[in-house]
Amino acid sequence: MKMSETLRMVIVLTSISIISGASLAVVDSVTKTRVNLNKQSALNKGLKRLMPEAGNFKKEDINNNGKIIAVYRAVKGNTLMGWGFHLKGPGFSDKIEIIAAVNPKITRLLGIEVLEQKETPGLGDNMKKESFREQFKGLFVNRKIEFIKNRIPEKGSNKIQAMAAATYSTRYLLDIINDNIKKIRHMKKIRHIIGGEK
Amino acid sequence: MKKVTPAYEFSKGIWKENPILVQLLGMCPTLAVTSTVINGVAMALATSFVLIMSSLIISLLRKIIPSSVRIASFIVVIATFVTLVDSFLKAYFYDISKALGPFIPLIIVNCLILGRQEAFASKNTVKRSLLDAFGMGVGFFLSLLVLSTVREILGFGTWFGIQVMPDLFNPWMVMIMAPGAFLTLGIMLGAYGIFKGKKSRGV
Repeated sequence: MKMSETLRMVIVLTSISIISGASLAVVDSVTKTRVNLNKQSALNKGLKRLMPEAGNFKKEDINNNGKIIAVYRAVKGNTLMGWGFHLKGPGFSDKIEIIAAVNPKITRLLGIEVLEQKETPGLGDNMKKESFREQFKGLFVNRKIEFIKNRIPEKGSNKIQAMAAATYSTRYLLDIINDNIKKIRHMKKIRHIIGGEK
Repeated sequence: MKKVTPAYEFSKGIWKENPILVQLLGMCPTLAVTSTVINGVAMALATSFVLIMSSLIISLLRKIIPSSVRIASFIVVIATFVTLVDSFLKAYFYDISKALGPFIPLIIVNCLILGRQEAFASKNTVKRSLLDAFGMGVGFFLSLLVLSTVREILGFGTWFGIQVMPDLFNPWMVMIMAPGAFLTLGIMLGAYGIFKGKKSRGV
């Protein structure tokens, strides 16, 4: 009697798991393409908003010590209009994913778009707001971008005003931009294109 | 055993045994995602769907599942439906899925769902279990609707994203933060208690 009870346990749990696994596999195969499509279309829309005059975005993956950064070359005909970097990094709550658009020489920001973030509602997630993001336009990326609190920074100081009560979210966002773009600028492949100036 | 009508099986979840106001189950999503009505509603619908489907399967299998592996079986069934909802939202309601973030996968450990399987679906017929699950789902939905309505109107001045407060209104930042959730829920529980107390005293 004891044996059959154990056997029953094994059979029932195994069957439930198999059925569950199979149905999830089916659902995944149905939704997978759409999920990826949604992500890609959010990315494309972001690139287009940041660099509206570019006709085409050519994707290249660059390898940064095993970490892949997706780089989009914005071109119009044969001229390079700028670059879009798909950057990821830790935030205050969870991973932050952004697009940073820069000029062809990779010296100044054209703007940023936030793709994914789970910062505090009403505070850190204000990074999605246009009023916060537009501060990034024209900032230099060949030096560090910094932030100050509670007042508007002077012109040319390469600073932004931090989000109110979300200093950490601001700091994490700036780290993602500063660290990644610095690394990208120092890559051989990129330096070859933008010219050697440091 | 007391005779229970099917109508009561459904309606008890809405008022008398409301999952939020009486059983105080599933507090984590209740407090976390109700800063806006759309998030609260999406969360309640997703949870109700999982609750109803799990109750259906568990009550169907209640005579087959050995009691020593029942919790494991419940969790596998619940997790399957949650993952299904998660994929569905990611594919068809991308923005809502982004807004709810990790709270959708966390429905798996929502004690309301597991609690109903253990306390009800595993011991009752399919029909009664479905009525119970629907009732609990409606009760959960209504509670989250009220909670998120209060929080969004006071915290953002909007309802379903539409401006409802005059321009002069200064949104209360605290309402969209965690303390706002606790305060609102506390007041709701208090109001429920007063109402119920009055009724039972026949005032």
